[in-house]
Amino acid sequence: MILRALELTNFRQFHGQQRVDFVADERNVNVIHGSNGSGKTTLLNALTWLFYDELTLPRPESLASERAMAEADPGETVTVGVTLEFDHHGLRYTASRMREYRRAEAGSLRGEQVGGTLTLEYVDEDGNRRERENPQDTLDNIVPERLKDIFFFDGETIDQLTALDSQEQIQEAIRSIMGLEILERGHRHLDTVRKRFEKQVREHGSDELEELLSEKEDVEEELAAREQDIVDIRRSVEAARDSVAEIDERLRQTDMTVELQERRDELTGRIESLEGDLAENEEKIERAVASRGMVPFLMPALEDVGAMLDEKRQKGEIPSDIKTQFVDDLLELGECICGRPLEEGSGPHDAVAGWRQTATDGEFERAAVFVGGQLGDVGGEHAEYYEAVDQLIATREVLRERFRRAEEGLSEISEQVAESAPEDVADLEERRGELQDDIASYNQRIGAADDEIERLRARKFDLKEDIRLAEKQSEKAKIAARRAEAADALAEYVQALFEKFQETVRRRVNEKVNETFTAIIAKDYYAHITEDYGLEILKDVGGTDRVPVAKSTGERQVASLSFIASLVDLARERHERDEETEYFKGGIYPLIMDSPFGALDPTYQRRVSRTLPEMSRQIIIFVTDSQWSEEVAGEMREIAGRQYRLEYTDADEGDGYETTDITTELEGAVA
Amino acid sequence: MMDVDPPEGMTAEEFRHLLNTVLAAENEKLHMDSPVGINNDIERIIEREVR
Repeated sequence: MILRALELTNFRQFHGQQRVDFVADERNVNVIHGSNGSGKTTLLNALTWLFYDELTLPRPESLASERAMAEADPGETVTVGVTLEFDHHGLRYTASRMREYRRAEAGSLRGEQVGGTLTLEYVDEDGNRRERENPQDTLDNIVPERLKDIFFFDGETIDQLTALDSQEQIQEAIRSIMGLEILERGHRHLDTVRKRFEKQVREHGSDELEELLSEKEDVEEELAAREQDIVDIRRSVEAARDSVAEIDERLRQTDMTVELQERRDELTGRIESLEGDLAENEEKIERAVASRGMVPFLMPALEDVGAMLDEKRQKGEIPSDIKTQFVDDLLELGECICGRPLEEGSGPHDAVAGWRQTATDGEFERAAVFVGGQLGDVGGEHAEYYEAVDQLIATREVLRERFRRAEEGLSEISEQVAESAPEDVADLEERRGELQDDIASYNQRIGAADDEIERLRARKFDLKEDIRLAEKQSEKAKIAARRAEAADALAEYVQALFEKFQETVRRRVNEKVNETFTAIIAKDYYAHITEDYGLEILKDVGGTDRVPVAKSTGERQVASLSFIASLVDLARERHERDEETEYFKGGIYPLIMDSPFGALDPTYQRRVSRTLPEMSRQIIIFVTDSQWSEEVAGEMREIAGRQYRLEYTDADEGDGYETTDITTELEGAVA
Repeated sequence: MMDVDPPEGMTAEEFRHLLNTVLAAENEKLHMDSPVGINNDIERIIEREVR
């Protein structure tokens, strides 16, 4: 979606018809200047009202311009509305939400709503003007209401995205914009439909089948409960980690503990790195055992075969002088090579037949030579296998020892902080210890739930096989079973697609957010989307490791801005790349920001102003003169294709009604 | 897209067609927080396609 023009009609303090044209692409920045209270937020609200019929302003019922109402005679109607022209997926749309208010009486400016419409027109590929039958649905599809805070965002509160309770909002934004939501919903609904078909199977099937289906249902419920447990526990882990990060930040700022805390940061980073090394080492051991683990078990049998072949060689049975086929041919012919007849039961016949005992068929000899060669190879592999596994196990021991020492170091630091620091700091340390214990206990619970999930999944798999066998009953049960199976296969496929894309998307968003964040923040800080979709800020410790830190308002705001801009950029990237199915298209979205520079210091202001316009095809910002600082203007002036000013007149200054006029700002404007 | 493993009696092409039909139905109601009637829609699609 690219906005082209916004037209207000008697909307709040915007009297009469007023229009703002927007630009995109090359000079893609649109600036709306206005002092505090001049109507910037009202303008942003005009967009959310148009899209969702919703206002977040004081007195939301007072939609009509007071001046317009005053100009109308009692009984006359005043039209109030917002019209937006925009491009979306190659079509030019005009959305219009209009209301009619009838002025009740001369002494009052209140109006009674007497009509209202929402229309959405577009120009089709042949240039014909058409109207959407369900305008609200289409608008909701273009910018879903649950994402309005992302698309129409208020810079003064946007830093809240980094708060813990924003994980769901972040997750939803990623899933929706990156096309994952359709898969998530698809899986859920297919699962419900599968259950419906299974119910039909039960109705038409045997008692045994009913029992199996019922058990499968119980297993699935149990599975869903354990999976939810893990989600809940992970949230608790995030909350505890956040609290630990806050305590650590305080300890870093306390003179008596600053050095100890620095040492702890270093050890924490080392532990995280060792955890990664240990996991990698385990993986290597598993791979070695999986690929060559059978070698030690095969060795005794192979050695027996080798001994047997040696014995045959020593006895002269390998290689043999006489081939089985040769003996068979003589017997078949009934004549020996010396010319004697070989009649069955005769002495010469029995003598020739006896050669078969020592004869071989050639295949055996070739196999014996091959096995002999292989025995040598396997023997070599056997030695290599032990050497490799021994090496990996030795490395694991070293890593475990380092891990243990690092943990001991952490424990000593805790004791030192508790002993040497004043009481309030010691309390903090105690609280920190409790939180760490909580985290350890949560992680144990996650491990137990994971094991249980694995067991339940195996049981579900077995039950599905048993159900398949029991289903071959009546014709009706059979059809229902086929449908249930189709729904199940679809649900599994959709779930597999979801998991594949979810991880790719989370990783990609994570990279992009961090890239944007570090381009703005020049410290050793990094932005990170956690596995549970928290937006956190990490700090470099010890050169290579990163730990979560408590963040200032400015840093939180930069992290949130980076997140939103990154999503918009990735959605565009995906849209332009033409993804694998038509349902993961991404899209083009503008960045619309009210007061985005509020809590930022001048350096961040300059970097934000430089970075964001590169990430979206269209930027629309609402700023006060003080926010349009030298740093911001210096970066954006040249690429500001349109600039407008909101001229506000207070009720006491003008004709008794507050009004805002939109005028073109000449500086940097394009005619 | 990933390789598909269609259930017995269904070709990979039929399975993909069914999948796309279901996803199209989801897409139509994606804007709704609670997509009314989506389970019925999917049930009807599967009944129509799997006989």
